Amino acid sequence: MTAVTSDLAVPRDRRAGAWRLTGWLALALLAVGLASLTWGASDASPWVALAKLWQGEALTAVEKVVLLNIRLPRLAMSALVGAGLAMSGAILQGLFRNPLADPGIVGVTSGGTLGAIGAIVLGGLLPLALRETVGTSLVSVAAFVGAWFTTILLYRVATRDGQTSVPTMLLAGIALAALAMAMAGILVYMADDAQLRDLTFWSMGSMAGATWAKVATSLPILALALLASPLISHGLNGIALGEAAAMHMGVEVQKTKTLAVLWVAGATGVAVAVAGAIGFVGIVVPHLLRLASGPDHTPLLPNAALLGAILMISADMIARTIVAPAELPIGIVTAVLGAPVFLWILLRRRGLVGME
Amino acid sequence: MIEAQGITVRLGGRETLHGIDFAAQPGQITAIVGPNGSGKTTFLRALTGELKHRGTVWLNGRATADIPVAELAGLRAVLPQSVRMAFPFTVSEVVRMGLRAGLSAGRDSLILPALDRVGATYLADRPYTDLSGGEQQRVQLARVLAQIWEPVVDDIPRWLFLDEPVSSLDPGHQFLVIRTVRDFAARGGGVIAVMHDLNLTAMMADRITVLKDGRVAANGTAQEVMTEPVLSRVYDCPLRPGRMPAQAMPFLLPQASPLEI
Repeated sequence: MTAVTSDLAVPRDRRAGAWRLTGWLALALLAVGLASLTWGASDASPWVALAKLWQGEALTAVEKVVLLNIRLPRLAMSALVGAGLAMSGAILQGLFRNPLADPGIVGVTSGGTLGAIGAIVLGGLLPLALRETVGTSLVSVAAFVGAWFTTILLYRVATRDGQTSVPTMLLAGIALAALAMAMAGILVYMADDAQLRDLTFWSMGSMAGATWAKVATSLPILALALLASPLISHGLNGIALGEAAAMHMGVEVQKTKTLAVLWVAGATGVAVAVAGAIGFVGIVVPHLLRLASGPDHTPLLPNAALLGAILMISADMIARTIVAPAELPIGIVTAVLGAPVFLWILLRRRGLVGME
Repeated sequence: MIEAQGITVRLGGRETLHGIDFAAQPGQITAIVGPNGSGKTTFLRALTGELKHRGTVWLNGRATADIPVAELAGLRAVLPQSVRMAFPFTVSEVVRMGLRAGLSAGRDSLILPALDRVGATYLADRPYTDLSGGEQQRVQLARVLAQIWEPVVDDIPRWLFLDEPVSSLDPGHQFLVIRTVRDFAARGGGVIAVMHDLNLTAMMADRITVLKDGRVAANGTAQEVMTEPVLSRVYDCPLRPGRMPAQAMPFLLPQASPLEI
């Protein structure tokens, strides 16, 4: 027990840096948000509109529709979906103790998709009165149930005695995703609703259908999830050492796991219900943030929400402007950006998927 | 003190521990030894509540099953045999988790002293995932020490449960870790350690519990337990302890001639 000499450097503390990053991300979100309101197929400009409002002039009908009913809800929905998916990724990775767990890759998104399509197609069989009470939230609730069921099933299959087998998790995810999408495909072809026949929406996502009503359904769940994330970040840090070690450090492991699964299912389910399946945000965002400011979940989760929102708004801007006046499915953009990052993670850390 | 009565564990449909009674005093190191598969780690995991078991464990007079996990974390810390981490937390971040788990949240000034106890201050800024097995083991011990930094708080002793704390260390670090653990006990804390090496056990432990086939085969001080009849019976091979002249401490050397092996 030699005394600690006073000239020893203080160990590096990454927490202050992580919270500074939160500030920068918030600023960037603001900038990207304004940019997304500015650019689009129509040349309506939020700046002109603001100037008009400032001088007490009335907005033109085009400005009202484009800015208030098209771009603004689309911006809000992109931000909510991006934040929800990125945080879902970070939480799922913490729960499975592996940076490759992404709601899209391990089948959670597909489970949510199946739930949403099931609700749309089979919802018509419900008694009219019931259908009117549940209304549009039926799709969100069904997507949540589908995502929740898939997450639990995946966890049961891949985890024994608190140890998650990564190859099992990834392979089970492939099987679950294939099964869910096959069943969704059957439902889609059963449906006579022409809109539903558009499978690309469910496999690659789009923000084109953004309405204030959709924002209103998804906002409460995602806001609740955002507020609840500090409750699990400490537990996820403990679980990084293993479930037994976390328990010995005073973490309510079972409670943390239950909350985490509900959280991921809620956020992913809602995101799928309003915007379809959008991949790779959940894996790229947390990975970049861990590189930048460390794996501590306390700043990681809010930072993931911010960067996820930024990324999704940017991806939507690309999706709706690059082939204007047509639109790309947003999932194509996130896949083009995200899949190479996924491969890069695999290259750098081969051991993560191997049996070791 | 720690007391356990009738600890019985079933693993995979097979009973692996058969009603073990056990006691450990604060201020002492109690070692648990035994051949491979005798149930040492299983017993430690039952004692710490990690495994479902029959029987009761009392910690300082209270049944551990009735103590909330958060409170338990302030009374005892547990070192697993090895810990793989999923994410590149730095070594000092790992130790800080221990501080936060115990009663020392926010006392970051303890990070370096805790690492110093295991000779690992030089690792403070390194990612845990880059370390060797022995280095990881020492860092985990520093985390566990940080969790219950003061061995006694308000006259209540705190406990260290260690699963093979020195098995992957070189002799220099084995010696340092044993000294650290002895110091913790000398200042009033309690230590229960599963050990593999009998010579290191003799050097470190005040009391030794020997397990064989899920039962207690012997119990006592090193001098009482490390005898030819006990060890030869437990390990199923001829083991004749020698004595270090100064302290009469028993030691063992492989005694079979090359021809016999």
